[in-house]
Amino acid sequence: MPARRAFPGLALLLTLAACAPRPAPVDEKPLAAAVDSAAVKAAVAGLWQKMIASDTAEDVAGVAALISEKGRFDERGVPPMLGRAAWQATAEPAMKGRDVMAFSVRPEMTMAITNDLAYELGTYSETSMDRKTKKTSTDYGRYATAIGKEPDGQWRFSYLMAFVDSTVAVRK
Amino acid sequence: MTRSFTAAGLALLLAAACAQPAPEQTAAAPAVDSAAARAGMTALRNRYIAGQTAGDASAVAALFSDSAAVDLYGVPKLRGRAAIEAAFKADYAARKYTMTEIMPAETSVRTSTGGSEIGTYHDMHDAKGKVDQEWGRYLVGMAKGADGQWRLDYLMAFPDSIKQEQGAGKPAKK
Repeated sequence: MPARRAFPGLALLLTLAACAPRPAPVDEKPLAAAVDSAAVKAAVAGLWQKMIASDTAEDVAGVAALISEKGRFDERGVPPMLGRAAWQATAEPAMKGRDVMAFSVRPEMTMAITNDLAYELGTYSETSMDRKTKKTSTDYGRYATAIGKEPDGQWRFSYLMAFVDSTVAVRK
Repeated sequence: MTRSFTAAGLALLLAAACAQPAPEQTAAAPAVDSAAARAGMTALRNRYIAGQTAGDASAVAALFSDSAAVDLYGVPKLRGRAAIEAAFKADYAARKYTMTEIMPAETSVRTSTGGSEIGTYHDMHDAKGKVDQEWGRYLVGMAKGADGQWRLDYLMAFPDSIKQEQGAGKPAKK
């Protein structure tokens, strides 16, 4: 079973929320701002575009920059990764071992929780070639993620859970 | 593979999100009663375990909101309570959950009526004498409904490992 491909492109994402970058303070009484859903959703879509660009370029640092420093990533077949550094340590060898040819994401539901936090569910597919075996395959999977706007104004993945549903060999 | 509901086994959720997106608001947010929210989430978790080990799919399905979403490894997307109940009913008919443990790793209270949790679970199954155990991770979103009940809005889970019990499926020695 496929599912053990280390980092489906997705590979990259985030950590969560549970862990959201800036969770609403508990037991406090913050002033709630109107949620600009369109702006939040646009930011989420923009973040995915950067992720796709970095993943297909096999730019490990580029992907890492899109993950919150304290993010968490739970992917089937890979131990929990706590923090950007842990993600990079795990993902880098995997990314170097394959040539990512295509990566796409199909969000099913994007929820603007606040102006700084969004949750999203969806599916993804990633086609890559194993540099050693030269075999090409496509992983199809599902993900749930939390994406937050951090103090520097950048949106990053703060949590991600994902698993591969199926892997199909691709004829060349 | 496709072990179906293992996870389900658990109880999880993500963020409530699914079913109840935050309403647009400009007024002052109410104080968050995190203790009460955590108590509600804990009670929900316990009811999930009780329903699952009793093999009561209807009871477990009742712990999900009408528009809940469930993503379990090896199982097609489940959207809506009816689909969730049908899937759980089939799973429980195929095997008995002799034990379910849910170990939260992090519970986040976002508001007094919504939160999320990630953690691990451990299920023990008996499928007509064939016993196995499953360990996995989960993510859930939970929300408190207008009726005061906490329910699962979203659950994602996958097994990390599955262990076949030694001797399982073999006739007992006399």
